[in-house]
Amino acid sequence: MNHRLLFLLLAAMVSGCSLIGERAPGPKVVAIKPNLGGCSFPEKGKFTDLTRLSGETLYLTFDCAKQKLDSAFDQVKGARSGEISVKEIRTLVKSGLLKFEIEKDAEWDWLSQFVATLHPEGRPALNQQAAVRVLATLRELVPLYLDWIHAEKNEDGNILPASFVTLLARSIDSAHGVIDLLSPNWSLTLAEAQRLAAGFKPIAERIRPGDTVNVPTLLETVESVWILKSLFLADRLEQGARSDLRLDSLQALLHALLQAVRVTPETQRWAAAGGHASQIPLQLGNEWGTAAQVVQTYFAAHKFAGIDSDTLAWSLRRLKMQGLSANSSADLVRLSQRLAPPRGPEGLHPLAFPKLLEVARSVGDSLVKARPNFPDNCGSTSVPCTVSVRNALKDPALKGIALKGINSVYHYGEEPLRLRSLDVPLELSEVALRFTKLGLVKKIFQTFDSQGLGKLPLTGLYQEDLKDTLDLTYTLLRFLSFGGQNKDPIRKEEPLPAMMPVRPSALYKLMGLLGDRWMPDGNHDDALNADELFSVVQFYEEHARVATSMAFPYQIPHYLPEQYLGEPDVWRFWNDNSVLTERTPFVRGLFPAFLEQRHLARVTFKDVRPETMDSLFHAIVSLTPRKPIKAIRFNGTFQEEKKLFELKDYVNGSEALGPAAILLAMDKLDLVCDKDENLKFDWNELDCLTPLALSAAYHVITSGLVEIEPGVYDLARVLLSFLQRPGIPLSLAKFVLISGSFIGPFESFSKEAGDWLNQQSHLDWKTLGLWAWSLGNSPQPSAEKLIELGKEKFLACDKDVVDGELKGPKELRCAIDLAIGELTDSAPGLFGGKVPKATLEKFLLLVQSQVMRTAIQFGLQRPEVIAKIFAKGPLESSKQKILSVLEELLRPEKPLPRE
Amino acid sequence: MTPLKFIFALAPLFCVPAVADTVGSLRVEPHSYPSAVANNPAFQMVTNGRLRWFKSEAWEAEIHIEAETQGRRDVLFDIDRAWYALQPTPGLTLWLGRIHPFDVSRHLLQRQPWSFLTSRQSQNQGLLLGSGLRASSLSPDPTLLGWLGLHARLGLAENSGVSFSATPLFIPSLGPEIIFSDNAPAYWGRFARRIPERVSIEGVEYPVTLSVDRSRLLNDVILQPQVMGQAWWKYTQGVRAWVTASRAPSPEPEFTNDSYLKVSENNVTAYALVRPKFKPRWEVSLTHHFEVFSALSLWNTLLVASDGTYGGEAGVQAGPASFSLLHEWKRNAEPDAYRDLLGQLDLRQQLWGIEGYAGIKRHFRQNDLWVRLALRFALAKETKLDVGTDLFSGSDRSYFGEWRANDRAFVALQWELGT
Repeated sequence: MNHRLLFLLLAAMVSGCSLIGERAPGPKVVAIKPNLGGCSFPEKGKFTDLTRLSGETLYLTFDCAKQKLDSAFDQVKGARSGEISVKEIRTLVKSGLLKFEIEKDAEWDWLSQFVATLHPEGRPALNQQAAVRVLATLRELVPLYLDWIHAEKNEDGNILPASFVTLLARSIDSAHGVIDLLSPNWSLTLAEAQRLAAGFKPIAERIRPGDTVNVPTLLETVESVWILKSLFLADRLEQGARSDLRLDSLQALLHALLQAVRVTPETQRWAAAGGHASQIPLQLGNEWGTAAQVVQTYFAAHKFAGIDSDTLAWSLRRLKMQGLSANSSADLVRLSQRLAPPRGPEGLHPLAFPKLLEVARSVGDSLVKARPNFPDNCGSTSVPCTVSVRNALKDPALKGIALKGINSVYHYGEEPLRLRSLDVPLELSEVALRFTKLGLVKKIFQTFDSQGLGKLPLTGLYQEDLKDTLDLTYTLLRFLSFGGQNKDPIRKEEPLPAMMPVRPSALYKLMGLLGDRWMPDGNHDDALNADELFSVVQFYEEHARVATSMAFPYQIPHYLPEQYLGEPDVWRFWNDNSVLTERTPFVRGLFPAFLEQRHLARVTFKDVRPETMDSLFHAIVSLTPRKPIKAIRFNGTFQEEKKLFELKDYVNGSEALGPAAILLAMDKLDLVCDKDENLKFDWNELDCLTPLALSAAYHVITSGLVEIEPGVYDLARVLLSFLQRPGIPLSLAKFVLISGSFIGPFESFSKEAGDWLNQQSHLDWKTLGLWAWSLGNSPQPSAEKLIELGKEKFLACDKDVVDGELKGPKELRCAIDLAIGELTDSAPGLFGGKVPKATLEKFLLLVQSQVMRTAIQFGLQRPEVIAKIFAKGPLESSKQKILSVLEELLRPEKPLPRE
Repeated sequence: MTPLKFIFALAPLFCVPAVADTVGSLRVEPHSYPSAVANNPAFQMVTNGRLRWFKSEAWEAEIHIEAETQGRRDVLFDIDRAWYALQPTPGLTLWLGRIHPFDVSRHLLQRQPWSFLTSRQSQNQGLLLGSGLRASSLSPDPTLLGWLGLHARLGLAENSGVSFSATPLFIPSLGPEIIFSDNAPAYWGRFARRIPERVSIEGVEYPVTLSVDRSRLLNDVILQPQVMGQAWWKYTQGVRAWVTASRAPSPEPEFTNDSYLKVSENNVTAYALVRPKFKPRWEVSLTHHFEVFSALSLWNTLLVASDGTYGGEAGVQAGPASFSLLHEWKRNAEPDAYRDLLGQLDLRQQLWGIEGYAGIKRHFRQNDLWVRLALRFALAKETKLDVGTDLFSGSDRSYFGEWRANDRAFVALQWELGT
């Protein structure tokens, strides 16, 4: 027994040796199932229909969220008590405890900044107290949310206006609390913002595969936006234009904006009811004025950084803001400094904005005054809230804006279009926009009216007399010039600005023409008042838009110079002056493009022959020889096949300026002078049209607004200056416009009228005297003097029957020849002796053309004969004829007739 | 306390032998392991000293000191027993001081610390598992921690009696050292029950740093009153029984709400604050011992506790061999619990002056194993030399498997005093 037991012990010892040397067990692991808060969120199904969300569900959600939040902060702790930094969150994500869909450093940077906005001290960390505060604030919004979704609604499902206003007011009050959740201590430097932006590249490229982000461009864009933010956000630390972005500044702005909305309950009620013109509240002006005061107070209560002109130009150039050229930065600065005189070299300063806000009250009041012009029941069923231009022109409140701007007719379909020009409807939104612009223009005008006269002179003996006018011209109108976008393709050298090639001295004269004379409220006083200035602004804006649409029709091929190959965002060049087109298709495409864009023009230009327009535009569009250039087809993006073309005769979009100006002018002439709206101009209507057309054409040509052949230029200038003269020359011009030609036969008389004219020829000494006087430069004499002058010059023709009167074909022919001779003799002195001899000869040949002879014959008649003529047959002009005249005037290759 | 002050504090003890009987032992044990584990070296030296002073049954004081000199230099000093006995009337004995109630009742399992019933008592397991505290025993026999209070035993008849023990204090077991750090994971001796080194959250593991909340140690641990009433009797000559009813704290350490994940910019670490907590528990046990004949005896124990735990043990002693099987049913029992279908077999054999010993313990559900094989040589009357080995095996989550890298060979040189 004992031996066996011992053997057993020994055997156990030997066999036990196999157990020696086992590896130590791994770490002891305890599995923990996180239990955040011990509560559960409501089922997802309760959130599918937000309109049926109950308060109980929402409260439960927020309460549970808070429990889980507290629990999470208890169970996970970072380096600082009560908060988890984003870097620590990233560690949790790396460890697998949290699952976030963000991976890259840049994405974490973005998250850091976002989180920091809610941190009390602006640190990139989730702060427990802040998070609890956010939840508590959102929880407090539950009753408001429920009231919104259960608010009383009308049959259309819209909240009743009264309820809407109340709820909006409560929402605004609550929004103040939400804004206060943002950390006032958060700030972001420009460098940090740029780093974030650079980090945005992979994010953007991941969101939109295939797109590439140009980082240097992006950084410059960020800096530009950063600089411009100074115009709205206070610079509390006085760091300058590139100051840090601080949330306390943003909070102040948001509070002010909310408060501004808060003080407009009647406006809100009106808007909630549909914003129909018939329901414009009477307190509109007061409310808008009060709201403007709130915003003004904001600007007055904080310090802002100014932006100097160069910095502003740099920013605008990078941002490529539509309609706001970098080259206008100096003007912007000057404008702002006019509005709010600087206290130092501050450049563009936002203190100018409060001044502009002063117009809010007047805009509101104007809308209230305009309200009776709109139908009482407009906005309901089928009655639109519009007023026709015709009716608007009759109303004192709307008269000043009715014709100033682009009147859209898109709502009326395309074909057939039976509207007459003045039937075009004005919508309330357009009316409000024009009132606003008018108010702003008036405000700006006041700043340039240094004398306080309410008008700025258009003519003056000395340059100093026009100082304010020129200043305004430089400052204001350049904003409206065509080609706001521009780009330097290689970012080394700034290209010339793509602005209208307008010399200010010429421009202000045109301004006068447009504002002071063309518009119904123009007072022809050779000075600009604020309303007239508004006309100018509107016309120029319209001009720019029309020219752009004409210059870049899709139907013709466009090209970009080959150096643009490789640019990452070439689509930005669309509508840019860098885009080239071949000259011939460009010219031919102008008129069709105009008709394509302006539906009403298809009616008002229906009698105009395209070939006339082509010929005219060929005369206007530059013929300057250009160096051949290699270019690639461009249609917003490059063609896949990057084939290079050699362009020889090419132009860029700015060449559409002249044609656009002519077409727009024709449109305006319709509105201003075609009183019976038949798209024709009778003799009386030509009294309105002719001086305007002549003076406009004269200023366009003399100012060099369009580029024409030197020889043609001289003749056109001489002819137009002559025809503008008062008396008979102006009548000649009317005849030319009726004939549609300087040189062709005059065929507008009916045969009966022509015969009758020949038989009834009985000239009037006074009219003859007027002709003689019109060839001199003396002031217009009295009627008796004119009779004496007529007899003095034309008595020699009283040959057949010497009776002291000129009658019969022979005496009449004599008088006409004498009149032409008078003109021939006086012509050199008439133009001041500065006209080249060849030009003068061409002018005299034109004067001797058939139409001019007929015109002189007609013009020398007594008024009762003229009245009889009109009774015999139509004497009228049209757009086609006027444009034909213009085309004839500007086409150099047409041979002049010889008698 | 500086070493010098410590020596002065112990100075009165050296005077005690003059007025009392003294027994004691000193044992030096070199242990050799296959490899180092954590900061425990492959070779460790354990010194174990024990002194007991007594005067008949009037009073007794017993101390023991353990020290591990090659590794972590653990030092353990404990006054295992210190009591003064009174006999106000015949049959009634009162103890004032520290003694375990099973000593008072002379319970069958008093000397079997690995049994079902005693394993539920607080024990002084010594620095290293398996080191017997008594010189006469080769079997590992940790001492049951005495209760510091009042104990009374009343002999009702020749073969029956009752006893009652009460103490306002609870002295938890002192085991192998575990070092906690606020900044790093804890570390411990070879035979400490391992504490969690990592936590797994949603399948992701993080290192865990544990710290002990000692702020409520007095209330939650120390100031726990304990009472135990016992009765024993003899049915017949060979059948005895013990009944115990006690209220005693049961260890239920809890993770406080201050446990959290500490996240930095580089890593995540779990921090757990453990609060030692001993919840009071009532339990009743019944133990029978059947002495079939001189070489064969049987025993069993049944226990029911107020926390829903119940279980028992059945054992047999046949000459030099003994075997028992024990199990405890408990809600949410740990997978590596000790009282989990444990079978224990002991063998002892004397041959040619050499005493051989083998002990095998195995949890049948955990498939682990602890085998001790040893030989004792009597070098002199009071000097003995033990040579042996311990083998551990089992899975990661088994009671003995945790120590499977602690297989060792040991030598124990032991001197006994005053025997």
